Amino acid sequence: MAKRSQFVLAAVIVLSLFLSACTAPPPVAAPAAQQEAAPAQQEAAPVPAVQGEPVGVGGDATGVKYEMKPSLYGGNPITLQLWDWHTPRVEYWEQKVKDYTKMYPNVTFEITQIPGEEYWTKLVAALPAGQGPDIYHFHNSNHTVYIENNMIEPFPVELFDPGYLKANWIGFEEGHFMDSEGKIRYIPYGSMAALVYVNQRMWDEAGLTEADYPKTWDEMIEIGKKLTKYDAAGNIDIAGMDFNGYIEYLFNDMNFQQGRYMYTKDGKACQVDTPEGRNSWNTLQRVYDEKISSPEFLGWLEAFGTEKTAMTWAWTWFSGYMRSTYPEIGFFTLPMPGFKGTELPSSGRQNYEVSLVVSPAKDLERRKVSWDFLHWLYSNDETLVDLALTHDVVPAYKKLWTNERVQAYQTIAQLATTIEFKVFPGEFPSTVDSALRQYIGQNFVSGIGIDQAMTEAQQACDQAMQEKSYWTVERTYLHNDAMIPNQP
Amino acid sequence: MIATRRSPAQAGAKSQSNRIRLAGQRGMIALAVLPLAVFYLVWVGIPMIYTFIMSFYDWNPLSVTQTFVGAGNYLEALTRDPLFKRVLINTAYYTVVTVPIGLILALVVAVMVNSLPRFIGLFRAIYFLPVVTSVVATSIIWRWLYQSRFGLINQLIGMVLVDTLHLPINPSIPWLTSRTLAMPAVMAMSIWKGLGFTMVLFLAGLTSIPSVYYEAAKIDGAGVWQLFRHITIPLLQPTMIFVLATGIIGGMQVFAPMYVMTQGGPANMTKPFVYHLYEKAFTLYRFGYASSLAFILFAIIMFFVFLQFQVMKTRWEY
Repeated sequence: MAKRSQFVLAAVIVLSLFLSACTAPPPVAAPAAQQEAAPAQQEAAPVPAVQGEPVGVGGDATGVKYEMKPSLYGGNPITLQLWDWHTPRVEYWEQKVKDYTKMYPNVTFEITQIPGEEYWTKLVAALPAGQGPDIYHFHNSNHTVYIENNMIEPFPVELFDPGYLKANWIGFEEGHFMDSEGKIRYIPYGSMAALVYVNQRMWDEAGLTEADYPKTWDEMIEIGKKLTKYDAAGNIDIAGMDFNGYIEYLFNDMNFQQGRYMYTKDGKACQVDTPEGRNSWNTLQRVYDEKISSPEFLGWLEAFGTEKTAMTWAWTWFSGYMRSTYPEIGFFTLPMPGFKGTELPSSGRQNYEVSLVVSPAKDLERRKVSWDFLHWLYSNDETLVDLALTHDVVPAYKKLWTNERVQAYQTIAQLATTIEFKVFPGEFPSTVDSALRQYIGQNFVSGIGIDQAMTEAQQACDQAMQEKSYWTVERTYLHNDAMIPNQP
Repeated sequence: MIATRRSPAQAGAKSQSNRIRLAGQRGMIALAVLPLAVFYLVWVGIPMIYTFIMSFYDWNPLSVTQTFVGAGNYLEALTRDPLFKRVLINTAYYTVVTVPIGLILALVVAVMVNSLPRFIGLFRAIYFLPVVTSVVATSIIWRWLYQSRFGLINQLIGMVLVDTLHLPINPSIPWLTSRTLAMPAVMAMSIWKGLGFTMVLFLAGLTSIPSVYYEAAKIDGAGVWQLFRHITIPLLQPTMIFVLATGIIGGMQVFAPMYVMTQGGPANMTKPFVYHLYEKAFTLYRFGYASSLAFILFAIIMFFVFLQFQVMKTRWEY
């Protein structure tokens, strides 16, 4: 074969196989003004408005009471597109839109579930082009990108009263859901943080009682020893406490507990290699040294569900996971132990589960219907409780913490008592997440020393932070005065 | 023999008729190729050119305006990206090990299967099964096999080396969390997964070798090794070149096993080039930079594939 032909053949093979997967269609800008001016959706010929039964009206959780309208969209048929990635929530939306469309039969919804990873890439492709859903579920890890690029319409103050939200909902006082102009871009329906999960049977079999609930890490290690079981060769058969696979998050929580923030004040670097960071590492190392767990042991997720560990540490979504995956295993939760046995300066990190948002790319009349749906949804107490309990989060509407259903759910009731001591750091970029997993979590397991681990983790985390500008708000923590003063 | 003479008019008419027939044939060929050509142009050609152009921009798909940065993305990759060298080494390491080992193993297995008097189809199907299984599914299963404390591989090592041979070793080998073992562990899975596909290619090559060559060589007194060395290997060279070329391209593009089994860890020791590119594009939305990485990788692959064609340029006619 001639040299030129070989080259051409090779080029065709390589290009076809490789580059076709690395390309994306060019973004097409959809000017907002053009969208505003676009005529209302002409989906079908107008039909007379048929007023349905009022369902779930009268809620005022957003500070503005929801009143049923005589009609929406002029009574013309309209189908709103709603996107979400989370199965239980999609199932819940399917129920809720049935209720809503009973009131407004001319409104229908097309709910699309898109798997996690794909969800954000599809949104990124669709929204700037003026396509995609009318309403989509948001996650605050994308705060900067979506707000900077105007892919979320600000919440209308006539439906969501900022003053009321600030006084009655978590996070508003600290400005956690606003853009730089103070406009609300999304609201939380709850907040999640970590608790200690305990296998009820193992706890009882070890003869432990409420008096043994550990308040400090030292006590936790002692309890762990009592719960650990070994095989004939001396290997751990059942760990007292296993957190393999989640070490980096526990490391962060421990740093907060000692009053050390995660990032520097300017948000350009991490605070990993600090005296508190080293103390966290050494405390975690003790769990291995005391043979309560081992680096070779199972990951915490597999271990707790298969009763290979008596205790683990997890964010509260884990309750739902246990209920659905291992319903036969009884467990209870305990607050996070600390270094001092008190909640201050902090008991760890928290993150919000946030709301549906409205795409600004759709025309005004469609957006009005979307906003009405969101107002109806989030002004209703029972809906907010449903959402919180379905997703194992503390309701964001503080009034609901005393709700009977919330109080009856041990995990959430417990988390509610400590949520004010949790720090919300702002965006937790996946690159930082990955850097900490690689250099804290996996370094632990790979058995390298503290000096190398700290140096590498600090370096990797800094690099991740410097690559882009992230939204960090941890210094807005309500108990900031209890944290270490004068941190960089 | 009767010679016939045609008048110039007749010859002209014949020539014109040939030209029309040829034009018709060409038209048919063009018509047949057109849909594929359009498909490639729309889905490969244009996006590729667009990607190349955008590799010179600070391309964020969410922004309406894109800033021209010249060769900035390429310079950043080659001079400032702290992970660039690491992921390049990882990818090269993966390719250099998995491609030749996979090729040799597949060749050995193909020769063995081909020599079976019966059940060739059965064995071919057995070896091919991992190929048709999802790479995500197999990666998850292998992650479990590699689990340090309860994984099957370490359990077997414990049974054989500790329980039976009483060797004083710790059988809890951290396959996927050790900096030195993680990449070989992923490679082993990949070789296993790809073995069946390469084997089938070699089997096809083996069955196309005429048996008369072997018979003639045997009459001349050739042994098994000589048959393999002087007939099988040379006649399989086109297959080998194909396997090597696609193997190198595939190796340089590896992504899924690491994504599922190690997430690129520990300490980025198993993070391949495409994983890095993916992170830049889909977690940081730096499409322009990711495009420049794609073209750098393209250039590297092109270089090696071209080199390979040059090195293995041999006459295959016998």
